[in-house]
Amino acid sequence: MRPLLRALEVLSILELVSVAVLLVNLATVHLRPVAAAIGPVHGALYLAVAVTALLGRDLRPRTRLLALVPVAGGVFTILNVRREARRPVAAR
Amino acid sequence: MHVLAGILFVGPAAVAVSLFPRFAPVAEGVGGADGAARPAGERNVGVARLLHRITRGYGVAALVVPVVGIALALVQGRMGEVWITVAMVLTAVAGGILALQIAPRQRDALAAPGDGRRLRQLGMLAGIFNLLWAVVVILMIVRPGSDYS
Repeated sequence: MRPLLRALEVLSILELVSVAVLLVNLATVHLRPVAAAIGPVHGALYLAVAVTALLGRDLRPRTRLLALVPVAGGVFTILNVRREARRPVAAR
Repeated sequence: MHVLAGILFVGPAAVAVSLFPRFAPVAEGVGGADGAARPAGERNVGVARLLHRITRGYGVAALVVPVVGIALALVQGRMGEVWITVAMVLTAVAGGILALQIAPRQRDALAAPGDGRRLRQLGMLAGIFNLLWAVVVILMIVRPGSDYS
């Protein structure tokens, strides 16, 4: 797996975890400190995934666009990274 | 410390990415727009390699700048202010351009000299990179949306 894909995979997993924490918190106890702490973290992770997917080289348009979807972008990106890893790298 | 790191680390990286296309090697015998062979001029692989190293080394060191900046924003409780959000997005884009486009393209240019077209793209990316930093610096000074600016 290319370093770019590895980084994208790790970031998207973290993004998914952070959004899951936020949603579970919202649906159950709804603690304000949790939302205040994880909210900006999720924002930063979303931004990191979006920028990496948009600017990374040799990614398919599908991978780039689906990474921008709020909330579900992490799931899409994890799946798309698997798909990119199976695909042979385009000759440059 | 945030400002000092910005000057010392982002500055050299910005200069290095701007100069790289001028010194990067071009394949032998490639003509210019008028068909005449382009003179070697000041192109120098050694200088280009050094600029590539500066780009990478100071680019990594420049990570200190957003880290300290976010810590400052948290300590001062200004995380929600709009100029900080905008600056964070622009910084992320600039860092992405440097790490995901400029550095790999420089490596390619050193490994396999092209006909100069890719170097011009590199120059364009360097311009965008520097412009983003200029906007971020202006945001840091003007601070639109701040309560006590």
